[in-house]
Amino acid sequence: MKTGATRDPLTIAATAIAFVTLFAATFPLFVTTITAFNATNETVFPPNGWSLRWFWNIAAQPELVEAAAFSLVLAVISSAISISLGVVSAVALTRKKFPGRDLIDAFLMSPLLVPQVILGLSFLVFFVRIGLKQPFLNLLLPHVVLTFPYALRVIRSSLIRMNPKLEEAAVGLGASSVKSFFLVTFPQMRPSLFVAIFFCFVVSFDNFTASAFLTVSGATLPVQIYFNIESSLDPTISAISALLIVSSAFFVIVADRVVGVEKIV
Amino acid sequence: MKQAGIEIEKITVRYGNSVPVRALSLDVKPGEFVSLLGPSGCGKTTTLRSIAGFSDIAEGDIRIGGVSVRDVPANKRNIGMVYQDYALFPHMSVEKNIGFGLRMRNVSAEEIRQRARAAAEQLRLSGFLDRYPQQLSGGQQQRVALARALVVRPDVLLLDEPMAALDKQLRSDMQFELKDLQKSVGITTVFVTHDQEEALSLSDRIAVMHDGKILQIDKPDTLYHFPATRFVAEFVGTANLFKAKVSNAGGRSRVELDGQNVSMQLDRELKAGDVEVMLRPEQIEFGNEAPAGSVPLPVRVQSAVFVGVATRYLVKTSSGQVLRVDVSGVQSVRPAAGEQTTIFWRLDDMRIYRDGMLEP
Amino acid sequence: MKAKLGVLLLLLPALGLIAGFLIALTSVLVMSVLDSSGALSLESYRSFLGDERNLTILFQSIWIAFYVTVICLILGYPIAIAMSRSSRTVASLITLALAIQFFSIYVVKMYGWMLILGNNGVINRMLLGSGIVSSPVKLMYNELGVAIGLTAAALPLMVFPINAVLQTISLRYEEAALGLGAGRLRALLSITLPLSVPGILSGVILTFVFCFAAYLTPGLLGGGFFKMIGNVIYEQAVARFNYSFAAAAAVITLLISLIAIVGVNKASQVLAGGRQ
Repeated sequence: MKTGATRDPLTIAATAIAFVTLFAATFPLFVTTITAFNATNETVFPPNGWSLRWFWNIAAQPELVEAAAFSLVLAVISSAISISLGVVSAVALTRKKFPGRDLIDAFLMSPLLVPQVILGLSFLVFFVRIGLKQPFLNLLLPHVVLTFPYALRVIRSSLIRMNPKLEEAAVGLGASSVKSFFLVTFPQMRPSLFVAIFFCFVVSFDNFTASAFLTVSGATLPVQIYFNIESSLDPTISAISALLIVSSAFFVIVADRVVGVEKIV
Repeated sequence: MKQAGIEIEKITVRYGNSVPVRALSLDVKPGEFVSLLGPSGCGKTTTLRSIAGFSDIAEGDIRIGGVSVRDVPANKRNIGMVYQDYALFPHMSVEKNIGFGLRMRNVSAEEIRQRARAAAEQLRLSGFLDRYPQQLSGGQQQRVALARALVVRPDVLLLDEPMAALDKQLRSDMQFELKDLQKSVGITTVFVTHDQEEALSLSDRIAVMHDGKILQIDKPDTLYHFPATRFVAEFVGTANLFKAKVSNAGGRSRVELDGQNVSMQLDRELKAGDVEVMLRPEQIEFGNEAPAGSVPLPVRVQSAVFVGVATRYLVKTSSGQVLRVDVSGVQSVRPAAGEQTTIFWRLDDMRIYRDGMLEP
Repeated sequence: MKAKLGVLLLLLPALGLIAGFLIALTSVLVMSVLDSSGALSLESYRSFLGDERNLTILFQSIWIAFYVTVICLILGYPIAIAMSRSSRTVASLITLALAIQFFSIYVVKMYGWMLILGNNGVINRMLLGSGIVSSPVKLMYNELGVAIGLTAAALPLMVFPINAVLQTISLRYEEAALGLGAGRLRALLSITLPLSVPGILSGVILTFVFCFAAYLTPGLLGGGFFKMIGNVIYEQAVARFNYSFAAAAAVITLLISLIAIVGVNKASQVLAGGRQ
């Protein structure tokens, strides 16, 4: 029962602060999207005329298209690896008791504690030392390291919340432990898998800081956008940004409909 | 301690489309212990929360000590409240928890210490002052919650199912302790519960609630023996109900149980028509000969369960109706399962309901 | 024994992955104590700490991370309160807005702020257009722009953990405090605030470390005029191939982050007092 609390002046004041702050925080996204429709090559808000030419211009910039494709492939593959590792590790960490379990858990989550500049530099130095210069692999490894802890955390917390008696009951009813995992546990994990896929994909696709250290040739999309911003501010950047803003908002709303937005924050 | 009565006058509480409390009135006399008893969702907790000031009343008025508190916020009402989960502040020691209300009333630190310690002593908590709530047992937590509520010398004490989290033995100990404490402090108390035994053993009066309304408010024995409605009869205690017909002749009524070969001559006159007859299980006896003034009915014993204080029977009449019979005492007749026997009851113990309402 | 071996096998791939990462991290440590000829030396640390410009950048990184964290806490706590207590509709609206902002591409978010703060940006066009100023106000390519960008980027990092803790605190506690005579504000300050300390701590740590080691925001909104330690590491490593120097700066950054994490945790233990 939330009655009473919703109407008290403190909650109202907090809600007002929340609205003002969030308006300010999301306003740049709105401005960016609108500036993509500028008629001239000035990126201004409000636009001095309307056109769609900057959207068509994306296609005329092969480095943007290539970077987008590269980032997409990178995000899909690194997420797939992280989710598979995450499921297997989460099951091992949750279902079995063994000494040092918490230590191993902390060890596996440790990449989240390290600032991304340092993570990026680490892999750069490491690859230089071992002489590995392979554009895709050089990014894939750090991206898996970055996304894996999210997958592990999301999947593990859903496993912890799950009633272990259910799997026991299935075994008691004659299912093998492998069968009971796939018939009882796995179906209950589905919402958390969805959340994990969402997180891994976004973390990888959005990553700039670590990737910037490792993109000597073959840039990811955020790094390419950064380079473009530094070299010029024509509305093509707004156009590609608008596409990204709309699609990430779309995915957040889909996630909200599927699992509830409170699960992904 | 000053004593304040509570007068609730036709209050209605609305949450959106639901109306958990409908035009409910209740007078609690100063120093009285009144229980609100009812199934979950009957509005008993909402009623308690409106006394406390946590549920806004849409209509009606509540007076504490004769003063309307309609527009008084919860923190200015001077009430003591104990929650089902106690709501002890987890980040504060027992002493800090008990002293919290005094701190809010800007009492001096020295006096807070003294009064908190005195309250702790009264509730046998002196050894636990430096502990934190999560280090205490359920019973100790409940005593802290009581001490915290009482130390501010509230006008009224409101208890929201405070025993629900305790196990059976502890619960019955705490019932005695709570009753003693309430009597010695003399504080007006409203107690919410869905446990009828708890209500019967603790209360001066019990208000049975259903669907946002009070169906009956009476002393425990009155409530048990003269339930005003069929719902109360079934909710408080166990009720055996027969469908029956009333017919009149010569200024007196005759009651015939449907499908049974039983007819009873009353010494008063009721309106003719369909009624229901209610009997408590312990008012039915087994025997071969009917004592004078009692009604016999042949039955077959289906099962017998010994529960310590009594033996509980399920018996079946020739028409197939199943009744509950409780037999206590060592000397009584105790038939075995499967046996054919006769049950009796006294006309005075029988209650008659027409359309769910008690007939005089 | 067999079961334990099975667990180890299941964990092996993940353990290998993270071990690989730790080896990479160690290679930074090793690199930081080597000189250009590959011999053991503290030369990189000496040249980093010996240059006043580096120290200035280090201290202004700490300072801006500190005050941005404070601003995020002041703005973020009410947001978390609103999320956990408003009616369902309002709460999910706030959560949705925050999630959309959070999951937008970081570089795009900062680009958006450039469109607002720049000389030809939304604010300056408004100010110039209304005649309040005659020449553009400098809102970016300075500390102010970086602070605004960092606040926007880090805000969700503060709100989410606080909200997660607030959701678990029963409203009964605050209600009990009201029943005992506390006012709304006093109940919030004496009950809810102390109970939400664990969330505040995670928020503060995440925000501080994120801001302190930021690279993208000072890169775009500082525009080379306001630099942070992340920019120094990147320039030295990627533009000048001075890996040893970058590594020394990275080790110092990591150390300061760890000191901040440990410090905040220690402070929380003091705040928690006798409670375990």
